[in-house]
Amino acid sequence: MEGAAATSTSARSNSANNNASSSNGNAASSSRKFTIKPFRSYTQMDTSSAHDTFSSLASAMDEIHNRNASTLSFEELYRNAYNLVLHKHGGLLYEGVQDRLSVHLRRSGAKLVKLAREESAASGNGNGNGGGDQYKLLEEMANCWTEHRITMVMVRDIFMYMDRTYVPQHRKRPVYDLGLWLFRRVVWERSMEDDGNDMEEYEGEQQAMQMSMGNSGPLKSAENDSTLGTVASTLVLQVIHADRQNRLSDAPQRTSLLKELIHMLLELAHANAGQFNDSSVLGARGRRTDQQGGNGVDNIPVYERDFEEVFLGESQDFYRMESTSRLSHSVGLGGANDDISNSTNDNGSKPAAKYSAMEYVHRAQSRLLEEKTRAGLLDLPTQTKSALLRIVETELIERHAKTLVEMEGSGFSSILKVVASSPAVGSVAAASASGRLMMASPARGALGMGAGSRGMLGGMEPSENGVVIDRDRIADLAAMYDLFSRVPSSVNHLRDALSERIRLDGRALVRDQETNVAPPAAFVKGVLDMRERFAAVVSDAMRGEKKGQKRMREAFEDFLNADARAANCLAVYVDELLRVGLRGAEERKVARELDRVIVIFRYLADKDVFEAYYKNHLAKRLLGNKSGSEEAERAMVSLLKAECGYQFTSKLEGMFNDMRISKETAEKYRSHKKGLVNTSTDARDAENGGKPVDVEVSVLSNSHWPSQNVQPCILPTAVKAAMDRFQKYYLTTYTGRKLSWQTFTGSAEIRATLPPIKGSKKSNARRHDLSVTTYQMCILVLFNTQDVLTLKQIRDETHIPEDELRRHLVSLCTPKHRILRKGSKGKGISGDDDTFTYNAEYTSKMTRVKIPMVSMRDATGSATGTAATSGANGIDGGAAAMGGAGAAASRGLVDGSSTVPIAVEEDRRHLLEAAIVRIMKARKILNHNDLVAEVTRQLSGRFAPQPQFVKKRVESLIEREYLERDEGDRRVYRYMA
Amino acid sequence: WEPTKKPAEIQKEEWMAGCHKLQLDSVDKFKKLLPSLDTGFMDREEFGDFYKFCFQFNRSGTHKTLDKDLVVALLKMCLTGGRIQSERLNTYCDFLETTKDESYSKITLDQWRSFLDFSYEYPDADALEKYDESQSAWPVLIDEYCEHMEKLGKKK
Repeated sequence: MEGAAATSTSARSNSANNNASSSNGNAASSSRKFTIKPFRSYTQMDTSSAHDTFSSLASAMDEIHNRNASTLSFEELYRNAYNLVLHKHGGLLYEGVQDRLSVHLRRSGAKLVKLAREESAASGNGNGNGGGDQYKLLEEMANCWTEHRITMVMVRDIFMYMDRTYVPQHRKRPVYDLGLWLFRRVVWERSMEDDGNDMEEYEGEQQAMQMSMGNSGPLKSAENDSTLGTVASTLVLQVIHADRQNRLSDAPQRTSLLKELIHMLLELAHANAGQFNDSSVLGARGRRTDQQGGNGVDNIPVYERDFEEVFLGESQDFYRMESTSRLSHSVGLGGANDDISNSTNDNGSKPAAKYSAMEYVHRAQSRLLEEKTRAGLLDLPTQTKSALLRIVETELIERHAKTLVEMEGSGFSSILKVVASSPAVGSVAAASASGRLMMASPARGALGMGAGSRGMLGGMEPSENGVVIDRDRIADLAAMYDLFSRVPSSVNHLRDALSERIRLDGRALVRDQETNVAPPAAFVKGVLDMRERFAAVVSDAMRGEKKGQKRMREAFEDFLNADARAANCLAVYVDELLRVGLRGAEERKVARELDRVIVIFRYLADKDVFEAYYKNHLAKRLLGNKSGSEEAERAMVSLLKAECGYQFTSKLEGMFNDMRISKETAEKYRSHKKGLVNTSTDARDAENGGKPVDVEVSVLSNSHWPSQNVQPCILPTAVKAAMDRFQKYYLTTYTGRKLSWQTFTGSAEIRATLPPIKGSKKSNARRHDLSVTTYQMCILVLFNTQDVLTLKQIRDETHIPEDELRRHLVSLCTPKHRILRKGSKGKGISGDDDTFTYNAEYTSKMTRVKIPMVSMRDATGSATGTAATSGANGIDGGAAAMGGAGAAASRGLVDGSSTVPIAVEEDRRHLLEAAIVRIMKARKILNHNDLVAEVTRQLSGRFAPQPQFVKKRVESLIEREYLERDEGDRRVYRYMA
Repeated sequence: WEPTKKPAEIQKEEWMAGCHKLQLDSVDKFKKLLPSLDTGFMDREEFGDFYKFCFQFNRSGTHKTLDKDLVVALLKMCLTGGRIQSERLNTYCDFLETTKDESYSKITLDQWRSFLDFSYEYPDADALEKYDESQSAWPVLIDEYCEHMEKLGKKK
């Protein structure tokens, strides 16, 4: 309303100017009239003279309408009007003005109607395609409007006094508003049925108008469809429609025209907004200066009714039609096709009529932009603008969100699939996994990959971790996300699709692992790659939104925690990493790899299972000196510590400590021994060719290491002697300790002297340093004295547990390292009587030979034995280095298994009970569900207890009278002190 | 029904104290009282105590649990006569007899007592349908019984 206020003030100053200029001498007569009777204001001006005065004013108004305003004296007119009002002829003046205005407007209205008729007659058949002619009406109307406005400004100036005094007193419309109001009534709402012959109808019209004013009811024309206004707005809509289809040749011109008309409507609407006493009947209602008041009887909002509503409806229809026709198989919208294919990133293979999801997304994006600029150009009021955008969003996005996500080949899900299955460099397993996915994916990307060349897929870039991330596709996803994020509810469809995809892929990986298609490490690798890709999707395509991240995390947790397998596999993976994968890798790479692992680790619920396996692997690595890098080991442990706290890793750190102390001890022992060597020569050492057996012992704290009580095997005497010496030393150095030998995981180096092979040029004895386990050493040393031994004999001599014995024997009989020959043929070892013969013909190019262990599974298979011929034996226990320590694949700790190991289960029981007691001790009385929730919360760092499991523990505690059930409510437990 | 100090026997003082409590000073009065000892006349609270007593009474030595077979027999003894729905009792006993879970070869006091309360709370099959295992604080034994019942219901 500021604008209105501004014009009125300027108008006032205008009139002041007029006064000043006209005082020079223009109108002597009128000024005389004024000066003769300056103070006799109460003298009645009689009616006839009033009419005279008015008619002069009326003719002046006519002049103004005829654009002859310059010839008029505004001062005189103002004075006349002033006098009329002063002499209580305000009513006469007001009505007269109204009449005059109506007559003029009626005339121009009639002109417009005529024009409209001519037009519709001219372009009777072609509704929208009739070329530029149809705009004449609009142009004319706009002209008419501008003129009317100019006129009204002038008229208002003349009747300013009336505006100030008469109008507020009688609650009439101010003159300017009156003009607008009349314009609406007479021109905009003029029925098309009206004849152009305005003068004849004038009287009747006036009557009708006064009647309608008297009633102040809804206008007739409101019910009548075809008014000049509706015709005009239809035309306006046609223009906009054409613009949407890009068929407007002279768009800027049109838009300015439209803008003008929309302005007109808005102003008309405002003029109508206030509530005025158009007739005395309605006097009871208070006048509202607030122009926004909306529910008055005569307050039909022209703009909303005649334009906004229709416009929005039209837009809705337009976009609904466009979007549905694009997404279903129907034909497109005629001429729009060319433009469409330009604005999309189509690869060119699609028929233009139907969009792929991505094309649609781009199209919708540009549509939204268009609408926005159009709204800007047309200067639409904010309410319309937002309503319009809202409609477009609903029609283009919300309604089709699901379709877009699910669309075969190009929907969000499909693209995700492509992204998820892009081949990874350097990972056979992942590639095979994704290969399988590709088979199922009919998407465009699959075609590219089907051709087998990575080069075909532009924009693919391997990340630092060797994971290929399809940047193009992610950009597509990002476009879709950006579009969807306009309508928050539809983003959920994207999130759903994301989590669904992760779940599916994850389960596929789990299945692969289950069916042994992929080894545990490959499984983890697959998960890692998958995470990498989806993380890229969430961070780049979904702009890293919180909800997306959450959904991703949940999805990963969902499939990873289906059973304990993931924890196990992850541990195996880390083991491989630390043994081989990171050997010699630079620090940054190590950190990155481990970070990746930790991310997965975070998803795990069964952290204790991971710990158990990890500990086991770590023990093997440490004792077998297999660790690739000490630094990496420590980095891993510190990462775990950061993740799960001190308690979680204290044992692991203890293991490292033990290793360090052991080294120191060994050092001390060695110097201690040097002192002894000179004084006493051990007789038994001499037996072994004078070379003493070196023993390297790792002293391990029982509580830190995964221990297992395995009966120590019987060691060769030479080794035993060396061990005894160490024991004696150790126990005297550290009193009060107990050493128990764990021969389980030791290793030894044996020097084997083999006879020359017949027919070979070299005739001297061949020597090999065999690197074997302690058990293997024990077995081999037996062959020093005998050539053939049965399984039973070996077992009796060594006391190696059956399973291990078989396994170690088989690994000595593999085709590659056939140090022993097995009596039976085929798989495994047949029975107690199976014989093993020393193979004198063993050959190897290397002097140092490392005998690999076969896995437990292979111990029953492999190795086809051939009949043995005996030869001279010459294996002597040379420099045997062995570590006595205990780390074992204890029961249940089988790599790749999916169940929680028994030992871990046991730990969990204790942890649970401890947690329950702790909680109950603090709370004394607690509801069952609360207890379960609290326990779960406290233990979530290590594992996720099943409610059933918790319940069993509670029952057990009730049984042992730590707790009791409340007498009144069985769901409540009490702590019993 | 005071708990006895030793299982399977009522000591003389305890007997006397009990008699005194019930104001029994003559054999005649005792005879008069006998019919009221029918469990059917007890209200829930009294019966609950009696029910608990049944368990305690049958314990042998320092054992805290009862054998499953004994429990089944005891249940049938204590709970017949409309205390709880016979369908509940019979199916429960069947379940106990057929279950193969080793951990249920002995029944604890908690499990014993829970069954009575459970039967009050879920008297018939309709009520049982509302049973929510994830929210329940009942012993796992009861959970499994419900699962068992659900399976039976499906078979039918």
